[in-house]
Amino acid sequence: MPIGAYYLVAAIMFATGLVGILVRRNLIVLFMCVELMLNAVNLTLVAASRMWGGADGQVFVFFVIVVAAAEVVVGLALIVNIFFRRGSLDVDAQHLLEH
Amino acid sequence: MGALPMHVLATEATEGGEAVVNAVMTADGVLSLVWLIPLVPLLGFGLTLALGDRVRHWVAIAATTFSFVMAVLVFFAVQGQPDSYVATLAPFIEVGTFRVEWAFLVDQLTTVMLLVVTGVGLLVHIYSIGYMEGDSRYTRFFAYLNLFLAAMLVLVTGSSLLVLFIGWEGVGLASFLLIGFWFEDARNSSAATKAFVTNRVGDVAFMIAMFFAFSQFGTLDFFTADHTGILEQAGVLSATGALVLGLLLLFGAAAKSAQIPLFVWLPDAMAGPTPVSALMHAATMVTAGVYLLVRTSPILVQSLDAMTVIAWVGTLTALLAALIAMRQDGIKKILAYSTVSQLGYMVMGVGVGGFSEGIFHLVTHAFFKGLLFLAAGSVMHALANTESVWKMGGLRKIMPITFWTSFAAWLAISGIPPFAGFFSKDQILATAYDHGFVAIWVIGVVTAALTAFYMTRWFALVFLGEPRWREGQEVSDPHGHGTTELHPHESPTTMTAPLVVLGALSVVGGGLLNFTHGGRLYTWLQPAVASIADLGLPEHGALSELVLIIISVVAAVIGIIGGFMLYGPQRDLSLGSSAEPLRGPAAELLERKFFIDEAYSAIFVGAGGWLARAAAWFDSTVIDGAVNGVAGVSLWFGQESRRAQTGRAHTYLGVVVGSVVLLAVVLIVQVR
Repeated sequence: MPIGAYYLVAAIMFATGLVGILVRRNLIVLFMCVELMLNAVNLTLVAASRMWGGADGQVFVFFVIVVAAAEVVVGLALIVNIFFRRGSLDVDAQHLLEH
Repeated sequence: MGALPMHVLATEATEGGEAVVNAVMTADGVLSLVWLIPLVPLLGFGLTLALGDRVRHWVAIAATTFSFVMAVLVFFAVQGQPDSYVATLAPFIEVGTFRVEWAFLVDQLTTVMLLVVTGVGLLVHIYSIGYMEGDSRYTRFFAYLNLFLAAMLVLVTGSSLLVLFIGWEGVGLASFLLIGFWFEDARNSSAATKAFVTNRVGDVAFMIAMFFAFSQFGTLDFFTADHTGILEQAGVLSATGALVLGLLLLFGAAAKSAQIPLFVWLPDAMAGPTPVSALMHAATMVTAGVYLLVRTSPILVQSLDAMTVIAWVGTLTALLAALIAMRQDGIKKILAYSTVSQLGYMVMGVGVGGFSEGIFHLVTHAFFKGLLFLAAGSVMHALANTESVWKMGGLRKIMPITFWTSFAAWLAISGIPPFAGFFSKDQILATAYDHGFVAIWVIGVVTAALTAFYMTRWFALVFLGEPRWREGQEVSDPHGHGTTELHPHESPTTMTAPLVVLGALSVVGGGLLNFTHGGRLYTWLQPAVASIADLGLPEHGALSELVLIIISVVAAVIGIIGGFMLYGPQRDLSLGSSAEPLRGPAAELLERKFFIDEAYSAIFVGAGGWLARAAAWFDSTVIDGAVNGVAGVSLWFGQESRRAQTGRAHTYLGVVVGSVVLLAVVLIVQVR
């Protein structure tokens, strides 16, 4: 398959994630969108790595996956805490950054 | 002695005794320590202030005595050599090619001024011991006197216009402090302010003169090692340049030496303690302007027009002040206007080309006017600070020493031979006549008669006739509270001793110094003043010197006889000032001083007030409007822009994404 197809899929995934972040309010969904964008990048890296015949991109992807796993642990713990404190996962319910 | 660098500007005598300074050598000796003369009184000022009442007058008197002894030593060191000495102490300002050093100049003119300033200064210090006794700020008075002396000595020894100017300003400051010494009385402090402000007007002219001199000569030094000092290359000035510089110097001098139009501060300066009047406003400070003109005489002689203006300013000042003095009532006011008038004579002398004669009159005037003021102080001391001459009279028997010394000073200022004032005043008038200024000479002779008249009035009203006060009379004390009883008495020895010294000098000083026209002092000063040969003035007038002498003596005698006829002891003056024999609108005009103070008040205070109000309006409307406008615009901008901060994470993220997309678009378009 031509490399363009991989890039296209990655771009669709990235755009989906990005739009999701911009329009959705639920923290869990936002989190999933972030993961989607990360994996879009992973796909790009793997495809490019394969095309150039180097191992760098694939190694890099493993790092990303490891870091993403750690991030998921921390992120989900935070979300659980926020839910317990506020009783809601709506990011716009309270705008603490205002003022 | 001192290891300081020392230059001698040797003098090359040309024919006729006229000399131009033009060679450089090195030397040492007492002259290299000339900087100690102003420095020691300055230290005395600091020490007296720091130590306060523990030292009283001792430090101040010791410092002044030191300076006087140094001045005498300098006199002997300068004797017999027509050179100028410059003692360089330390660098002062160095900016590019502009260099000024703390350098002190000693020549014949400086020596004369040093002796007068330190001599009269010492006498006034001694006199103040008695006069200021019991004053609550006794010690501070002596500190201020030392500050004044230090400034005046810097002024007369400064070897460049700038160093001279430092002394010039210092004198103004000390005079402000001393005129307003009894500042509890608002009139005294406003007199001090008036003196200070009027002097500042002249200072501005002096500063412009300095700028102009620097632009013309590239230096401010009077003499330099390579003969480019302003006095050495005065000839490079154009005719207009010389006229401008001469007039600027005249205007500067007019403030210090109380000439038209800046004389108004001096009569008010009598608000200070009487020793101050004697020291600053008769003998030394007011001579600064005359000294400046004589010091810069090589510049003045470049322009006959400038000289003529100077002569006329002096002449008119002499006449105007003498007229005003005829109808004043304060014992010191009369003397103050007399001082203005005599300073007019000195400036007249400078203007008609008699630089040495002007300095000669300065010296004798320091003797007899210093004496007159100290005598006035002695009288006021005896009469509980009474000021009006109409409340005096009959003090001849009670105060014999004051009376006899005043007698000498009265004849000296009136111009009766062989007293000191006769020689100096007559030589100025003779110079004016010989150099072709006949109109000035006529006015000068008339003024001499007026001088004799008002001084006779002063003398007769204070000392002669029947007393117009009673023993034990209750009078209000102008400097205290309530009343005191009058018990007139002769003053203590510390006050009478200076009177006697100055009295002796008033009798013999003139004859000893300069008996004939072109006598000892004249010869002594020749190397230090400019030659007037190039001005093309006539050498002699039609009348011989003897005839001129007879005319001025006759004028003086007429004045004295007139004074005695109106105010002598044979007249009944017991009614006080309502017995004033000179009446009518003309006399009223004199008494109100030609309304000059009122006119100045209307013009300068009025115009100044208008200007200040206009400026205040401009400030509150335009300037404040601009400032508040800037603040208002910022506030509005802030109010509007804070709306961008919603606090919603989505908004920020949207902005970030939008920006990145925009950036990407820009990059892509640019790469294409």
